[in-house]
Amino acid sequence: MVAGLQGYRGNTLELLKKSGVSIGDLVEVKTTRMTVQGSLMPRYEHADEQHIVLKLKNGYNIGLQVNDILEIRWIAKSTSPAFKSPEAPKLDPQLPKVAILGTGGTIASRVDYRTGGVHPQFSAEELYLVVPEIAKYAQIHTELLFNVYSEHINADHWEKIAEKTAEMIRDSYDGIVIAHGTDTMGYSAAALSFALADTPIPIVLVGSQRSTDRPSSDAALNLIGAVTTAAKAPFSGVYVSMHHTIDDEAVALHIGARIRKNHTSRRDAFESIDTSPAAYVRNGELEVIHKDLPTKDKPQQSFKARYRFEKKVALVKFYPSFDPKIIDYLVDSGYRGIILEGTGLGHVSEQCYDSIAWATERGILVGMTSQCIWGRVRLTVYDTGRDLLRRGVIPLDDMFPETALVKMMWALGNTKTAEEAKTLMLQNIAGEFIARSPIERRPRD
Amino acid sequence: MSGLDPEKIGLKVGLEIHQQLNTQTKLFCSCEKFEENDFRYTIYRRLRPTQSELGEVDPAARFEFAKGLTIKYDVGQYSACLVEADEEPPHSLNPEAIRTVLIIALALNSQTVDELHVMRKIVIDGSNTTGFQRTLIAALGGELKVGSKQVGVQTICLEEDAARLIAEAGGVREYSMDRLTVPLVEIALAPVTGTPRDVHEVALTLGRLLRSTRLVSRGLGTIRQDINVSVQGGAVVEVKGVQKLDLLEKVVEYEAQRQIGIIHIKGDLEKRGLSPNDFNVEPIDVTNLFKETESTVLQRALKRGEHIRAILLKGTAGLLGLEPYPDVRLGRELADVARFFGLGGLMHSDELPGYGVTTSEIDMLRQHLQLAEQDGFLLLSGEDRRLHQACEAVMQRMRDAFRGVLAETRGATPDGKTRFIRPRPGAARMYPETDIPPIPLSADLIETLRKEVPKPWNEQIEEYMSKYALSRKLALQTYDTPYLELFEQLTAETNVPPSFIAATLTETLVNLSREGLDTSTLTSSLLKSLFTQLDQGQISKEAVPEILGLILRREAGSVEEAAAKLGLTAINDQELLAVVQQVLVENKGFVEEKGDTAFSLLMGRVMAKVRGKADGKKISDLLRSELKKMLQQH
Ligand SMILES: [Zn+2]
Repeated sequence: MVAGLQGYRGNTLELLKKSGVSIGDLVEVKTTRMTVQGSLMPRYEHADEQHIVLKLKNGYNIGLQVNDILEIRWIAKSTSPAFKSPEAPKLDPQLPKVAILGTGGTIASRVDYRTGGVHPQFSAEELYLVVPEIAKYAQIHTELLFNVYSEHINADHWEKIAEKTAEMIRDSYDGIVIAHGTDTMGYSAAALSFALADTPIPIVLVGSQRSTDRPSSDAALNLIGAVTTAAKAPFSGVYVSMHHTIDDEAVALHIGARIRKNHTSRRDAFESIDTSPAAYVRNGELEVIHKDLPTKDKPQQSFKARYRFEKKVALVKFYPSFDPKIIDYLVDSGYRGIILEGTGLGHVSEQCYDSIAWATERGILVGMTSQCIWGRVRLTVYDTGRDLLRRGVIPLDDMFPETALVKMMWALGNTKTAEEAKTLMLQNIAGEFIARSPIERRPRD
Repeated sequence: MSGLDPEKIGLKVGLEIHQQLNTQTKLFCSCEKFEENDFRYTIYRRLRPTQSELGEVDPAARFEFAKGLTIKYDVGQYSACLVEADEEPPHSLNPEAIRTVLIIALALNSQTVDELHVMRKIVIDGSNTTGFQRTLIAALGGELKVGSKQVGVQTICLEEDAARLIAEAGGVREYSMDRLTVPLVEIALAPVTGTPRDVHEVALTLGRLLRSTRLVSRGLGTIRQDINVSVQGGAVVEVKGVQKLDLLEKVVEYEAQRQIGIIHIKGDLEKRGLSPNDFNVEPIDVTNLFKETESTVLQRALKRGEHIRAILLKGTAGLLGLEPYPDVRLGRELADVARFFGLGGLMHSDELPGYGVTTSEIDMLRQHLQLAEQDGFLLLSGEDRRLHQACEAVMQRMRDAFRGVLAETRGATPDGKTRFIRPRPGAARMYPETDIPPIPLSADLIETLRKEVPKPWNEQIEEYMSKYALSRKLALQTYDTPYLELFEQLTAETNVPPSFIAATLTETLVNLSREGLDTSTLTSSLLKSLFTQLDQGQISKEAVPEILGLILRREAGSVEEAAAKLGLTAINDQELLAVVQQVLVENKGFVEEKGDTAFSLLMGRVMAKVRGKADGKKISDLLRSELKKMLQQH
């Protein structure tokens, strides 16, 4: 990737070409003010066309204004730093069999010190290199399913992950870890919770809020938590393994259908909504908190996933001055389901009544959730709620909007009629409904 | 310098100054910069070497990780936010800090770069929460005028300061987050030849140039100098963390002696016909040999369940303890490495018997190891895994003794010596900070800033001398204190003579700190109230040192309280007149006898009564006129 003149455009590109230099070469640049030696660095794609970047001998980069450059003199060819790949670790056949599936994101990447580029890495060897400790807990097999940033992940990717995971469950793995970018990890966790409902083994999604090219990355601890759980948890189900607090101390295992990213950057951005994490991992030890987690005694060979997702489902947030035509548009565009993110206990303005009625009369599922995130919807308390019920809106209790959306996509994807899907919507499939509302605002253990 | 001629030994010293900038906020966020000791939160972290470092062999980074150290950060309410905690990406680079560093660069005649690129420098000792220090080059080249000489400038960098180390014990290293990401300018000067005194002069001059901008912080801990020391036939050794300028000379002198000494020892090793291969031996476990030892050091180690190992050092008897210069010994070099690996230290054969190890134990050991008379040995104790690593490193250091001076990073000790910290890291640990895009500097910006370059500091000193009628010495001293701005404010706002204010802020405070008092705790507002009350006649000049002393000893919380405690509240003119007249009456006979010459004795008696409650000049004026009146009456 270091070949050529990556990132340079316009005049600058012309000048570099004319000077016969390429990225990585040692060059001497004479400007109107100074003469400096250094290696030519690539230019970031979004940076301006006015500067060339040199890495000086002391490791620093500087930018030089192209209009002031008098001469660029080639001195020597670049020397690629030899990266020593580690030896493949020995697998201990006594240990549980754990697969780690890669989907992209920052769980394993290596920085190129010359260019600053971060390269995703995903062989088992390279994972061991980042976190050698995981070899203590399991025989690791790794596989890169695809390599996309998590904001580009869609329902097709969910299907792919679910299909592959189901195959590995039947292949008698003891647990499966799925490395995932954090932005949409909550959605994917919900999707897999439904698609792989009744999984006989633990499936653990893991991400990191700080990439592994930093010594302070949270990836290692999260991964150790995930592998520990996959290898030796006494329970099955779909979970998310992330930092419990901003300390590098404990990893929280959140129930896949109850997890939400609630901060843009903190290590403990992921929170269980209206419940505590199911378990914690501290110093490689698992501490189980929830008493009623699904057990591991189901047969693996006959496991079947229901992994289809209907894409024609929309999540619509209500707000003051909301235009009901947005709902009409969805109906006209062939949408099969709508999750409303209403106010408070689950309300929208009466101006939406007609559009909602029009949708439900056409067999479109309309579910109600609350933009408050925490707490339940209750449509029987006020007139507005009762009016909405009368128009066929399905109250979705304490399911928060993102999980409700994913569940409706799954329910419609795996049934033939809206009526069957509606039944599924109201069934507790993967712990997405919780009967008791805890007293604590954010239950921790 | 103890018989070493700097020119003959080819002494070269490069200075690297780190100076905090006096910006409103920190480098990458809106936090305030101050030392905050009211900790509200603690955060526990671990750092790991990044992948490419594991690919290379960086024993320092590996060891830091292998030690299993937990890092504890203490966090106050105002001095750190999610950015320092590495919980949020850095905000935009503080424009005030960029301006300041560019003005400094222009003052040093350095060439500013056209685009700033923030880099990450890997540091995994916990001093940065991220595991790297953010730093950028702002300018290259330039020169500093020191007297009649010119010292070259190599680079001028803008970087973030590290967290403040508080303690390390029981596998936990504790830092305060308040100092983390405070903006620093780092100026690397070209190596200079000359005496350690010259190096001191260079550092002092650069410090004054920085202060002349009025854009840098003042006071202890805001400026730090690292030095690169080399002698002919050696390598460049980086010595970090010389906090006080006074120590600089001593450190340079010691380090030069150490390097010459090491070269000398290398020669001796070769003269004995030894080679690095002679030191490829397996350490031998001798724990059992010392089961009954009376050495407290070893007893304690055994009680902790540690092991004792001996390393045979063929043909080195007499060389380990050889001390070509004070505190320069091969044994000390080896012990430093052991300490780096977490061991309490090591004993070598030239210092035994000693430490409670008896002659018979040594005889037993020599027999066990089958040592010849000219052979030496080392004894190390520690927890198994750590001991293993340490033994390997110590032997490597022994083999490295044949290379003479090693390029390494050392730390300055409070008594002016140096101690091994880690091998010198290479340029490979530097990579771009991708969270902050490059920042172009326009030619217009540079031209605007050029107008803000201050007058040279020596011209500023001349101005102080004439404007405030200060001696050169007092003007310079005031210029070097943390209180220059306060001095200007006080001279403008009060009628207290500038020379008295200057002397108080320099000499008086120096005297108090010689008494062991921490004068850095004096706040500007307290000093302001002191001079305001002096101006209003509520206290006298004579009382000032005592008042400050009381406050620094925490026996009084304010100037008023101190004055009241000392009974030093100034007396008014009427009361003073009464005292003077009383003394004259009491000594009437003496006055009649001696006439004018009675003055000095009378002055002493009045002073004794007034005890600092009135200004000395005022007293003498009053006494003189009253004495005159009395004599005229006769
Ligand atoms: Zn901050």
